[in-house]
Amino acid sequence: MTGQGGASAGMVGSEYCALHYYAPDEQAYYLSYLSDVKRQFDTYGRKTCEMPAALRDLKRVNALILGGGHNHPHNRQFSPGDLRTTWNPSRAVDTQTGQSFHRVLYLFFRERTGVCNAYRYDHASQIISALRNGQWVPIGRTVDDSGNIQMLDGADWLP
Amino acid sequence: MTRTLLSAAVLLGLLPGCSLLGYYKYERAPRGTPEEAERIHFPHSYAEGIHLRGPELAAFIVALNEFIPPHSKADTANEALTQCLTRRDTYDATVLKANDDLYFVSFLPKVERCGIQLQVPLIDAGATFAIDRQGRILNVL
Repeated sequence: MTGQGGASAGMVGSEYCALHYYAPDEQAYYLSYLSDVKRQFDTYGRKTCEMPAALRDLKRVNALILGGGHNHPHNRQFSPGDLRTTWNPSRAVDTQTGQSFHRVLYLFFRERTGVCNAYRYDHASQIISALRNGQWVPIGRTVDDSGNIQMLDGADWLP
Repeated sequence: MTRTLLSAAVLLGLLPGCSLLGYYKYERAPRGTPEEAERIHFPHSYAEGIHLRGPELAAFIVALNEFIPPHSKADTANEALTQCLTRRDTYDATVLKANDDLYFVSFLPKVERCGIQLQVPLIDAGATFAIDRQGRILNVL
């Protein structure tokens, strides 16, 4: 996502988004095609990406949508709007195995140095984590339904 | 006479251009009837109300004009959602004073207010503005 055109071009840049899903028969994870559809989700509408509303993968008809992912061209934090709305339901269950998955929203931000920082918001636990050295490290959590965040002690968006 | 008509024609010809340049006629709020006015009793105290100090109000007006300019409309693939996001009362607003020279004003849509439950959530809807005491927008999230 961060390699797409304008994906790290600041406030005038572009957002891309996609669904990620799980195929129980293969026990494999997939990413949908990227969307660069820009809709005006409010009366201002400077930066948005319309997530695919449905999955059409004919080889994996029983796939479970596990959430979405998007880049920010302008900042490395989740916006209140990202955290304000929740996936409904916030968990997906593989009915064959009973395995439960938390639905998560990923955020990718490419720093000026070229480093890609990745974050995720777990809709079920409401925990925000940062990917550090291959591990998801909790850094904060939402405290209400308005996307307000309480950062964990000593934690920040950057290490 | 001919000159006056010509001037009027030129002026009328320019009017649509004014709208293209962003000129909008200020629309006054619709008024209730005299009978409705009769039924209104103003409270003796506003202590329980939502109070905005002048600097906060000034920052809020700047952000409001930017976020919801006249005649602005949302645009989505879902007509009910478009109508919801175009309504002014869909958005909750918060004003936060960081210091005497910096205010944050945030707008967040609450589409549940329209009775809409989205399966796939919206991302990045709404906006947060950083505004200084001079009414300048310093940054937008």
